[in-house]
Amino acid sequence: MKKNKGKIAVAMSGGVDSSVVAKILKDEGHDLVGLFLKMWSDPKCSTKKENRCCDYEALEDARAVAKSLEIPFYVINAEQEFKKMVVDYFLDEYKNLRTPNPCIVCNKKIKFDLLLRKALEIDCDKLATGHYAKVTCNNKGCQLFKGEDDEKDQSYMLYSLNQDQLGKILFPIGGMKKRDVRALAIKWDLPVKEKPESQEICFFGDKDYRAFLKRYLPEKYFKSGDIVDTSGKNLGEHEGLINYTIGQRKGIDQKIFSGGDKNPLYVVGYDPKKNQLIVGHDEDVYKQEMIVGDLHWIDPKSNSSKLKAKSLTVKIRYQHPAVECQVKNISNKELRVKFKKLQRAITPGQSAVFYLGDEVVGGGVIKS
Amino acid sequence: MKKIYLDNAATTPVHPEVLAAMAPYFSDQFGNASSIHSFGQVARSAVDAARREIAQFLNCKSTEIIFTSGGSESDNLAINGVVESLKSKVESKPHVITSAFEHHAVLDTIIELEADGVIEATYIKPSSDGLIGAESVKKAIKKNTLLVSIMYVNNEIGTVQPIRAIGQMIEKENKTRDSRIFFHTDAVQATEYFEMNVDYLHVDLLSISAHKIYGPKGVGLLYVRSGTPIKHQIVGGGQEHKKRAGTENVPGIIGFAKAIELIDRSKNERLKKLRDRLIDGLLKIPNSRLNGSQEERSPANVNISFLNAEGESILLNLDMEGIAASTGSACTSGSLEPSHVLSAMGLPPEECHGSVRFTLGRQTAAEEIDKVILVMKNIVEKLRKMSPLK
Repeated sequence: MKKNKGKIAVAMSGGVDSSVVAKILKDEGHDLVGLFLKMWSDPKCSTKKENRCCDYEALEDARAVAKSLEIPFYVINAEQEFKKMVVDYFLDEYKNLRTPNPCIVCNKKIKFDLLLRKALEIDCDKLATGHYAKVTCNNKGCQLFKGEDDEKDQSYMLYSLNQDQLGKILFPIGGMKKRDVRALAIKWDLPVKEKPESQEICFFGDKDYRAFLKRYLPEKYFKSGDIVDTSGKNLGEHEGLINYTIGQRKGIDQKIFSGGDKNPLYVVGYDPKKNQLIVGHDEDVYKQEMIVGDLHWIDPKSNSSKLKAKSLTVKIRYQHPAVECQVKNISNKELRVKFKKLQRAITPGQSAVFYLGDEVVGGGVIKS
Repeated sequence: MKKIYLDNAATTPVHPEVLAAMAPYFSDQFGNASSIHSFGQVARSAVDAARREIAQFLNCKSTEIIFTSGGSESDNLAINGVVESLKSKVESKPHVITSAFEHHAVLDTIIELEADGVIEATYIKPSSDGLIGAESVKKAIKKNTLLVSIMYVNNEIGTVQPIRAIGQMIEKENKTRDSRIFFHTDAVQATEYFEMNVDYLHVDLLSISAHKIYGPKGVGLLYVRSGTPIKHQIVGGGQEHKKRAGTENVPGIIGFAKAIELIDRSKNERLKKLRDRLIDGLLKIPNSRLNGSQEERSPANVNISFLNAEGESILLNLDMEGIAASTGSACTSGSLEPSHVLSAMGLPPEECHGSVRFTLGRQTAAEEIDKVILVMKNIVEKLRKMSPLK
């Protein structure tokens, strides 16, 4: 069989970013194959139109771009795997009152595992995607960096990739600003140039994760119970613990009995055994430290020295600046992280990602 | 690169004679067959002639043919039409028997009727070599059984069901029953190769599609034996004896009749030899197995599982070599769900994933078969080296 040296698979979602990636690589003269990942999307969702990244429209768009660039195009069906590894994980995390990051799991297990394997199986050396992040590799290994565009940086979503995966990935627009990417799409007159951003979770279309949970989880997860303050005093009634995340204010005031606290109240914790929602004042939402588990390091050989660096920072959620911190091993499975400044709403289930300047050291999942 | 097309069960190229027969009926003889003027009359007589020719092929009356938009509509009409027309006339909930490896046009229609509480259903599991015996259908019959729908040739594995034996069995049963059982067969994949005489087969309803037999897409038919109750599913006009509204697809019907005329069963032997050559060649690849009986099999179908090599990946690799094949029916391919056909035959999911279907056609040549064997050997070898399942 002929060996196609240097063939690249492009993950094409039908969006602006991955379409520009395909065009850039095409212009550089690479031999390309476009791959569209068909994910699972909620069949019970009525507002299908909103479902931007997984629906038929997205597929049509991706196909149209591939056709205009004259590159072969295939649909890779990952519905079953996506449902099992991403959607079921998403539901399980909420069941356990944690707030998941489905995109991180999707990157690790679907995009840069299942899709990457498919790419290799059809004789591609690399998989290119439209992520805003940078990878550099040399004979010592690969490093992952923040994307050039601070607002769009997606390195947080990629911290759980390993050396094998990073060595086979290309992020051609990682060094660009989003506005420049869109300008290119317009200049090249790509069929998707006007397409809006997609930032919502892709597998339900109505942007409302609570409605999604309601459709897929049994009634017992939505039992109402007491809202209590940090001293245990009963203040009101909640609508099921699953509906609240740490730091949340929305929907609390209306549920507080009249004559209660006049100051704004925020979710600070849960007592699942008593089915109680614990609320407090703004200052109660701030924490000095957290415990992080399920650790993963980009380069396991160098992580311990990097973690000792004074300039170490951590991102505790995707849309959040990295803040200074110090870490201490509790075991090889867990870290204690101390923040230089108090941090608001440490949310179990979210990932904590450590940076040294723009370099991603690795990270884990916030336990408490 | 010269391309090789081995997906003739998905669709076939329109035969030039078919195209030529259709051509006048687009812009020249464009009349609506229901119009009373001369334009309409030309179209009407062409449709009538086509219907007569097809009726001869099926050994039925012209009035027993309902033209449809294709196989799926015919299957839907057969099942929904019979059930709807009789459900109010029977005392208990009607019972429908089908097989677990039908085409989804049959299977999903029955599953939906069952889910809506309209019918009860029995899904007969095929044997491990992909066959449904008349005996197993007989065993499933109940007092309230109204309809049996068993496909003639399975679209994924090409096995041929004993339609005549099942039809005769049902006819015999009917003699001792208060209420009749009607027998439908989806013959879409059988039309090109096997007996279509409806009396010989003892069927009451039979579905055919034109584009599987070198005719145009978008036209098919349902044969409905006189006396079989059937409720229309499309309303809004008196066409097809009020059983299927909508302006007749005149060029499609003309092309359909021509395609049927061109069927030549004497070519079956040639195809069978090519098929066996492909089967023998592919089975030389270690850890491969033929799905479905080799004896009771369409001369066009080869379906082989390769352990530790995913069907989807094999297909993409084949396509890059210019070879068109499929993992199952085109309607479900790209779906990583293990094939319902192979699952129904008791294959473990990992073997269902690795299955590839090649379907040969009139244009298939021996060199093409040899090329495919060679390419397949390399692809499977390569994928197995990369397989995480190893």
